[in-house]
Amino acid sequence: MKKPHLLPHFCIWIGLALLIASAAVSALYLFPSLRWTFNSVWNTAYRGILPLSLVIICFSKEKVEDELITETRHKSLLAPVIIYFALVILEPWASNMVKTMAHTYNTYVHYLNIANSFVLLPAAAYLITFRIKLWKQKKAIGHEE
Amino acid sequence: MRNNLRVERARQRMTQQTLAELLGVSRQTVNAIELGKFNPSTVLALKMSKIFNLPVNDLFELEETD
Repeated sequence: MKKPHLLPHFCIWIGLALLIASAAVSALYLFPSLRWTFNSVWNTAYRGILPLSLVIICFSKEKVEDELITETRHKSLLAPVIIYFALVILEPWASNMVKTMAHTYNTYVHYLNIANSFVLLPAAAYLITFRIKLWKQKKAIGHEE
Repeated sequence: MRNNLRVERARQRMTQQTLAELLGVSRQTVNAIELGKFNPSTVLALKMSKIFNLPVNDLFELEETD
């Protein structure tokens, strides 16, 4: 059978470590006192490492990467594709709204970068759908032999 | 598509885990095939027919809706 081109299984753990670290650094932005001290670190974590870690997790092999897993991967792609197209369609309106909100309320929403969500949201949607499907499959097997 | 995998496996006193190892897949896959939730590829079906020493038609059969 044709093997899918994916990263080795251990990359999931590297991706998870990067995800936790970058999510923790991204959360620093919620504390106004720390906001400007860590600005460049925050930028790297939120705009670089966070999307990268999600992509690494998405494209890492499972322990046993068989045809059921491949089919589950394919089925899980529908949700991110819909989200991606929704983002493409809504992007001009959303970026305008974010700019207005940032201007009106002087909030940090403009830092939540619309372009970043083009990677973050579809990748997160894929991961959530894929993991739920895997969990359901594992739950279905029970202890029956 | 219906299958007699569970019956044949029981006849040979084989666990899902053993069959999964022989096929090179996970136990979830064997379970999903037995429950009719997943249709295996031709390669996997032929491997099963080899393991059980039966023609593929005896293991899998089409339903009216297929």
